[in-house]
Amino acid sequence: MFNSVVLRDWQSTAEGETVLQHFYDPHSSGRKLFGILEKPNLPASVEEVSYKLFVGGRVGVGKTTAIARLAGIPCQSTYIETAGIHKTNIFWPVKIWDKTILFKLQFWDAGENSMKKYSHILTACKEKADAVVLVFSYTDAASFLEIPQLMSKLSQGHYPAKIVIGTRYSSTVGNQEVSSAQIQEFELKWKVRVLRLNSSMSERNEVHKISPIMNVICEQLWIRDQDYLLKQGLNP
Amino acid sequence: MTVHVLCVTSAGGLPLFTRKKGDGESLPFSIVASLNGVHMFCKSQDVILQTTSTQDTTYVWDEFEDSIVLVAAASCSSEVILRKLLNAVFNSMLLLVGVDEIRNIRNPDRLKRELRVCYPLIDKLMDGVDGSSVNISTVTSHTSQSRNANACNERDSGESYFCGNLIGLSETLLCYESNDLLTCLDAYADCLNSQFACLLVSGRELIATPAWEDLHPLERQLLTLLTVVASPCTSSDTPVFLPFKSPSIPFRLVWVLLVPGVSVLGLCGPTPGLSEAEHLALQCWGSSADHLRSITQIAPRNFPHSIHLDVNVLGFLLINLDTGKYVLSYTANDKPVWHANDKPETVAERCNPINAPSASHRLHVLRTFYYQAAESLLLTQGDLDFVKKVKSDSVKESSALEAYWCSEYHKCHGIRRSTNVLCVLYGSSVPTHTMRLLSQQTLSILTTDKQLRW
Ligand SMILES: Nc1nc2c(ncn2[C@@H]2O[C@H](COP(=O)(O)OP(=O)(O)OP(=O)(O)O)[C@@H](O)[C@H]2O)c(=O)[nH]1
Ligand SMILES: [Mg+2]
Repeated sequence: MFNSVVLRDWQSTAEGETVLQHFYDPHSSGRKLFGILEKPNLPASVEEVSYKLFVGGRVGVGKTTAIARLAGIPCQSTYIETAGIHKTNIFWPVKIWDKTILFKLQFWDAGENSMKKYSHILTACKEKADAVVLVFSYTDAASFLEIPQLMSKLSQGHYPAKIVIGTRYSSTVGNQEVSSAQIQEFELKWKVRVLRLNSSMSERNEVHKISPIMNVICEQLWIRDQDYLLKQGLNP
Repeated sequence: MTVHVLCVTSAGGLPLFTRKKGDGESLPFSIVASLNGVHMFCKSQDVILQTTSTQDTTYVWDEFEDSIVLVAAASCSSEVILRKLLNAVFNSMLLLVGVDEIRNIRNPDRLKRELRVCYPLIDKLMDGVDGSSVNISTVTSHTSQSRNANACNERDSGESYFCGNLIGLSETLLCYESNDLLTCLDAYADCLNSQFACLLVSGRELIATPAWEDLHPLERQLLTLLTVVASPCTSSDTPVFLPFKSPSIPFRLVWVLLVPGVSVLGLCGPTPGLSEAEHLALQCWGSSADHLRSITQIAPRNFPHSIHLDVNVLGFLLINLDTGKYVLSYTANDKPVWHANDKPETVAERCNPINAPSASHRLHVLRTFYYQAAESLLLTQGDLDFVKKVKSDSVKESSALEAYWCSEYHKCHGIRRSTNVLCVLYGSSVPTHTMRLLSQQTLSILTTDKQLRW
């Protein structure tokens, strides 16, 4: 069910690490948040693809934190409710077959409360989204149970790729409200893999902890494109 | 020191939120209830309770829109500044929630939920009350950090955002007139179909369109702070009300990170959308990336490196009472940030008393001097009303022209010349009578250069 197109663990190879050098922030231990006038300095031959991802999920499940962790930038330690839309561009290099491809993932994050108050926010976030990223928390059963409904609500129309991320995952702490059996059932029923972010954030956001998740996200987007091209080819 | 702010409904005394800054205990419920109760009781007797103080704490009440009551409690703070804080807190509620929801509270629980987005802004404002932000941990971390090569992390991520945070004033940087950036900004504002746009460098206004400069200084402060307290992102589209200009119809505050440390802000109507705004920013600013990157070097010194001030000047705060803007430099005689990277400080440099008080400590001293001495001695009631932006020519009051403080480790001197007020922080070795001369000299260096935007 989950074939891999994107080369796993490539980021830890010598080649991958060399490429990733251009993604770090020289002033911190993390990656750099690029301004819109910049991008990682890679050879011009590297193809760049850009996608819009809309991140949804209940208030406080950890959407903003998840994006910061995927971006490799420091997470705020106190909870800051997201006001309005916050968009974070994350650059991520992957190896597909024998080609290095630079993914520019544009994560659209909107606070649940401002989405309720201003209807244009949901519209703007959904518009032409290539993927919806549904976030739930392993410590909040309700946030998991509403994922299917949210998935259909957010992905009407243009068949975005679907990505599900569970935050606050822990195999040792007893506060988990979502069991592995539930996850398995969900994955089979909806044909989506559930990605996990560990509850403990004390560890630095090293690239190799995040790269499996980033690779799956890129792969889902890539597969969606291939399917689309295929369909186009069949019905010209 | 600890600062508390509580918010309750006027009608039923229902608590909407409480915020605390500093390491003191939270206010126990009984105190919260009595603070509200005593205000309500006075009101029922047609008495307006404004302030009271105990041995170590000052309490200030203020009611807004006949709908909510805000209470501030803090040790070592004056009534004046706490009242300012409450006013700014109320305006940040207006900024994010709008006046209508606050005027007619139909559902307090809903309002409570809506007000949660204001917390980061309110907490930041509470930081600006003198004393509260300088907790020992920041002071020590900065002094120890600046001794090693990691100093720049701290500088880039935290310290340059270490804004002056003077309540009700808008912080800027002093820089040389730059026509190409102004052209870019005008073009961008045109593209956004907006009159309101500004360019922020490390959370401080570098340049702005005339309409933006015409906003109330508190509005400008809150709009900028909103981008500073938000979690880092590439661009954002946040609905905001303008507390003075448009309290019940929201605008969209759109901001885009151009290069790290520099973002451009615009107030838009329903269009253009965020993707479009980002695209337009790329078009308008695309050729200025290098220029923008070089400008980030100004912070946290906040005035051009080519300008040299007397070696005794450790820091300064320059305020324009006419426009409500200020420049604050607490590293006035430090070497530029990028040099700090190259070579470790020599022993001689380290022992130099000029390097002694840490940056955050200098900021604290300057801010305290401004609030406790300069504001009360050098400003008149009329000046303070710039907060309300009404020019009352009829009230001609007089103010002192100079004020100073001497302590064991440093001295402060403030002078006023027409609408400019300059507060300077000196090392303690400067002879007191020389300060006047040095301050005058500094003021003239900073304000008479026609090329400098002031
Ligand atoms: N320990 C732990 N805390 C987390 C994790 N994810 C989020 N948090 C914390 O949960 C709180 C809420 O996280 P946010 O990322 O701000 O939540 P959000 O979904 O963006 O919330 P809204 O913007 O209000 O919708 C923050 O205090 C985070 O630090 C996690 O994986 N582990
Ligand atoms: Mg959020």
